Amino acid sequence: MSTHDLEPPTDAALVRAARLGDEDAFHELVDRHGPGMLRYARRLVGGSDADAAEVVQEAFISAWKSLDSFRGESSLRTWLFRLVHRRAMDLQRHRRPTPIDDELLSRVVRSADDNPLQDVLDSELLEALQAALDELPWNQRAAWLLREVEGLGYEEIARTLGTTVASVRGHLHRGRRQLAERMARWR
Amino acid sequence: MALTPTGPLERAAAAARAEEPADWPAVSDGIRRKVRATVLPSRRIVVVGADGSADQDEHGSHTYVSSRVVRARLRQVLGATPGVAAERIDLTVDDDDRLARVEVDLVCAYGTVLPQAADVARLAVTAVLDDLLGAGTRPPVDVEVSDVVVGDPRLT
Repeated sequence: MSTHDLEPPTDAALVRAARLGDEDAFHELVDRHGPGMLRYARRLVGGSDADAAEVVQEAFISAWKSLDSFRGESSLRTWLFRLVHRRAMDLQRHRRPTPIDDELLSRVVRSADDNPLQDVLDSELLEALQAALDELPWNQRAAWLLREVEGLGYEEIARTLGTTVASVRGHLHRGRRQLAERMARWR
Repeated sequence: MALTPTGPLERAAAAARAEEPADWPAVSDGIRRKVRATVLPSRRIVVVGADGSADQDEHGSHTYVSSRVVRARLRQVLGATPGVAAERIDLTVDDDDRLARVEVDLVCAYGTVLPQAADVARLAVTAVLDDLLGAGTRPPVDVEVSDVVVGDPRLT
């Protein structure tokens, strides 16, 4: 895949090349979708950097091996999030819940106005959010993250979680209510 | 105009959306290493001389090239052909490790003369086979135009 073109290749073009073994094309997809997948995995598995990295790496290796099975019925992004979700579920089944670590506070958050106070507040808010997310049932947590953080549509979330749009609406409704209650003290 | 989130949950969601995983470069490097180390299925293909013999010397020594290598070169050559992109490259190898058939699916740019594009692709494939597998490797090369897209098929 040529990298000097001004127009970035679409996901479809990169998938086509990657299916034929083009590692550079695959890594363009990795760097395009990976940061969001890592962010999602981290919040889903309780804030553990190591677990999130493992989940995302396994998801991408699985994608590399099974690109032929991607039929384009959903967007590539949805397909990749589904792989992450499955790996995260496997991890949770085989491990005890991981406590939140202090590294959460060191995560990089884009600062709108180079405002250190706002950065501290954001970090504390994120810590509180993670604690609240950890108390949510798995599907509510996943649905909320996919909708409110990653911006997926209801249909995409349903495909990612392997459920129906109606179930997604239910998970989101209950998840939002519980999170709002737990975060109320930050008002 | 973007609305400023006011409630704590909305503010937390906005902060979560703004997060840029600082460890992403390390995770990306790890994926790159693992992909490179992942051995995808392949077959060995015997090199055949112009006389049709696979023997490279009087002892009957053979030279083999992995189908992975052949596919990679075909992908590169077809990718450099203007107006086309390979969508599928299938290599059929017989029980004697000889390349028996090549099947290529192409995506072509709208407006391309399709039979001509197929001929150009076939010639490119034949040249690669000659280069990698010897002049005696002359399998049928089937080319199918599976899609036509607006714009450069390598980008669209």
